[in-house]
Amino acid sequence: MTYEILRDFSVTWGLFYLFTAFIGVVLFVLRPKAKKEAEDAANIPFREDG
Amino acid sequence: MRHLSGTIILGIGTLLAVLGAAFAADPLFRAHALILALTLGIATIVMARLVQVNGNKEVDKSGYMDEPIRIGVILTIFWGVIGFLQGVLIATALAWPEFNLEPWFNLGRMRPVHTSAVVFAFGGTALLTTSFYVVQRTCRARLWGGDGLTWFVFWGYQLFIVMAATGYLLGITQGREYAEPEWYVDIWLTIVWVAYLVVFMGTLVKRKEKHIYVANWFYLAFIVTIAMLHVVNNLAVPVSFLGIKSYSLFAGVQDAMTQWWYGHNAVGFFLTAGFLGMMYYFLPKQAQRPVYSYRLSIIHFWSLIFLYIWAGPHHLHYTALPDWTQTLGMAFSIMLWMPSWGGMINGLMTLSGAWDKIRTDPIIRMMVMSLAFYGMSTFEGPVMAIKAVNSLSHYTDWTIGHVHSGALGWVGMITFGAIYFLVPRLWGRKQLYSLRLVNWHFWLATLGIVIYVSALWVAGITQGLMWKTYDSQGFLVYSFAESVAALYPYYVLRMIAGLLYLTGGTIMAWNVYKTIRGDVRNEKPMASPAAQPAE
Repeated sequence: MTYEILRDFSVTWGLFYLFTAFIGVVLFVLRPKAKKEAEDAANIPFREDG
Repeated sequence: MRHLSGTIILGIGTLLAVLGAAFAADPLFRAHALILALTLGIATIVMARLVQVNGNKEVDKSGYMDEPIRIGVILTIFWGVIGFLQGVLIATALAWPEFNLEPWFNLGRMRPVHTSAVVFAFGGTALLTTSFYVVQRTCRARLWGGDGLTWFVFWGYQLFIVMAATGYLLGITQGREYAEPEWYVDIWLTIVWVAYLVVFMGTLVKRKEKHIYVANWFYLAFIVTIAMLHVVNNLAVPVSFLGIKSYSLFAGVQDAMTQWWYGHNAVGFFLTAGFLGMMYYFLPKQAQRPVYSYRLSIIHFWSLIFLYIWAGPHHLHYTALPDWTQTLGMAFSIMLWMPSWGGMINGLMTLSGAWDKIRTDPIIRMMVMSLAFYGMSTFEGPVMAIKAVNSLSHYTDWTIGHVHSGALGWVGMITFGAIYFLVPRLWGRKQLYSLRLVNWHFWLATLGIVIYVSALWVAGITQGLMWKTYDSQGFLVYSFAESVAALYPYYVLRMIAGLLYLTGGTIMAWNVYKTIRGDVRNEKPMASPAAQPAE
């Protein structure tokens, strides 16, 4: 495994993987159903006992 | 027979440390091993006195495990005051070199003691403590792995701090910034850190809440990433089994890049992600309203994680590092504006509709100021990462000013806010001893930071410009010593600023001490009830 192979891999597949993963996260968070779930999750600190 | 196994393990540890001193390959290792033996020996005696022969008094394990959190709060304050004091001492030594006390207390040894004391002792203990508090509350579960494992993480980390600090004073260092401890201390921290990860993950797994609250994501990112950074940056080959010296596995510019990949992400994942976890729990709790946008907090999290890890090369502008790597580091640093400001706005807007709390509640005021400094230092950082700006700012005191605006402003203030939130709750007190003293702390700290940062802006730009001034023949106009002499007034100002911040810290220690005792100060309330918020 040489420097060139690693570098080629990172600027193609590595970049593609990280970029799509990030876009996927953002789309997942912004999907319509997530709004209610997020409101519920935001109230977790106020549900604790003690 | 509680504490018996702990006592035996500590006793064996003491014996091993004595053997380490006996067979040491060099005198420094011997001295360090004796310090370890002394520390563990004292711990053994303390532990042995805690052993209960008839184990009737079993601790109640149904509720949350709060004992290490109580000790952690006290230790956080203790390390904070020690760390700030160290800062004032080395600032004094910079202004007046007579205070540069050879050999143990010279600047070269005291500086890493200061940085490690504030970052790892004060900040690290605060993160450990608050993460244990937050993960239990938001998962509604007791810490996983039994009490023994949590105590091991807690005291194991304190042992790391003691070994690191005493090592620096003895002159033991591997010369990597924020990663100065030598190989054997690094291995110890790795063991403790893996145990920390296990406790935290175990608690998340057994949670009674369906969703993992965002604060825990930030804490988990901090724990996992620090483990990775610490292990890779400290890959080294020891010269001897019982000696201090080791050599890095990397050489030349790869070594430099590994160090600053570590160094910048220590800022990104220790001083930012960890304390954001703190902010996302304690700010909503103190304001008594949920975070402004939970979805924004998740986007904040992922964009911070995806971007921060690439920003390290901006510490190596105009060096032997390949040009494309420098540009990459600069570009990612600038992109970091987005998540940083998204997070700051999310925190500030949590107060939307309750802005009057800034006037009436000094703890909220502290948290808001910390977010303001988070915003300011994360704006300044990317600016300084731009190569053209960096050619002026690099190696000057501007950088130190920038670090302190983040460390004193963001990290310090959010920790103080969390401490003031925690103390009455952990000791079952109705209120703090004095809110007016919190207000005093707030103003002393704020004034200290403002003086510190502005003095070092002027100092840094002065330095940078003097170093870059050429005459018509192409010769440098100023000698290096002249640029040092020019900084004298700013160094004095910096020392005064540190003194203000330290005074605020000692006021906090007093306030917390009185609160734990259960005293309440007879004072006028902070805001008169008659006052109405502006319509």
